[in-house]
Amino acid sequence: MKKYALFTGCLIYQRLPHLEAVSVEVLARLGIKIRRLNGFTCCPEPTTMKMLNKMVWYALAARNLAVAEMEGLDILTLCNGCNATLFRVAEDLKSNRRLRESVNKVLESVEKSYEGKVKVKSILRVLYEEVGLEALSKSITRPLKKLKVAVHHGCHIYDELSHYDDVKNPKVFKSLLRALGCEVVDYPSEGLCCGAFIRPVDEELSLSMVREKTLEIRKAEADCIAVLCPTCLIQLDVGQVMASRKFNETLDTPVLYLTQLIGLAMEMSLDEVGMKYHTLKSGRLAEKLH
Amino acid sequence: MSYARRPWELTGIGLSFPMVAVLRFKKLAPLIDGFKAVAASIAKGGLSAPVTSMALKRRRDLNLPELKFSSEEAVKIYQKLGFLKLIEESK
Repeated sequence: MKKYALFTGCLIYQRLPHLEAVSVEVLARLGIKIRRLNGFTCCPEPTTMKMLNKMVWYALAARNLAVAEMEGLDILTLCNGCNATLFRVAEDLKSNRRLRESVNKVLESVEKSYEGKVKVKSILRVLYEEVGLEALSKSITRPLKKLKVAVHHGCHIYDELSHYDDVKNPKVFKSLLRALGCEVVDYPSEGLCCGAFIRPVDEELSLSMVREKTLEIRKAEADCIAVLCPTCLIQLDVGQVMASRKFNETLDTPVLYLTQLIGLAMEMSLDEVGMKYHTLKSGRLAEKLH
Repeated sequence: MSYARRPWELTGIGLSFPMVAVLRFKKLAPLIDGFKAVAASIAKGGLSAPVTSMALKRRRDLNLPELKFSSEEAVKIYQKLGFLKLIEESK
């Protein structure tokens, strides 16, 4: 199995470190080695910096790639946003020599250069392509057979996802959950954005997106929502509490990151996978694990 | 001119979330200010928001290492690209 530089991203490092802990544990059990590197910065965030100044976006991301390249490691991302930036920049710099030269001129200011050798993969892709469904299925000791799960991919994974899945009807995430024994339920707004990005400027719209999604998820009788992105997790977790207050409804479907579900299927407890740190606690999950 | 001064270009940056959400933005200024704050935070501590003592405590509780982030090199890149001025405007 390969060894990766772990890129947690800002949100997981600071606000959701339990997702880092459970991911590292699960990856180790599946034979994926990781190394944490000093010297990274924010990826930078794919919408923000690209809009303010695209060359700054390229250069900061390329510097992160160069840090991993100096260690001879590819990058494993735990956050959709980090993946959107680092995957796209790595692809662009690999295929566009002129752009790489321009970026490397900027990187001279920090005495670095990037040769275009680093591959960036999300944890979803690593689990699917390198571990595989069969090995994942064999690694679990507590199949989550009673658990009905609704998936939320998150917008920023779709660039990478288009390289190994059908983005109009994605199946990879669901197939991993089925390998854990879960029943995956469909709902109409599965592809709808979580609304996190617009919360600072239009909270009502943002929360109404949470409401629409989670009402449909509840109608589909899901026990929990599975996500791949820390931003989506916070938005759907905290957002349901806020939306409940705003719209006078009870929205309380627990939200779990992919590796938390894998951890549960490996007989880790709800506390060990970090559910105590979520705003919406485990709900009916405990009884569904037996 | 930075993109921050041309918010109508929001539709041209390849955002993947529903564009109806963007079109319904009531106030773009706070959004752009938020973007600048993120850029400033990277210059200060390397991450998009400051690392709090509470965050570090939780990392220790989970036996996770404290990492070093390279804000100095981010600042040098900002300087090289004339980006610092934009951030300073936001202070």
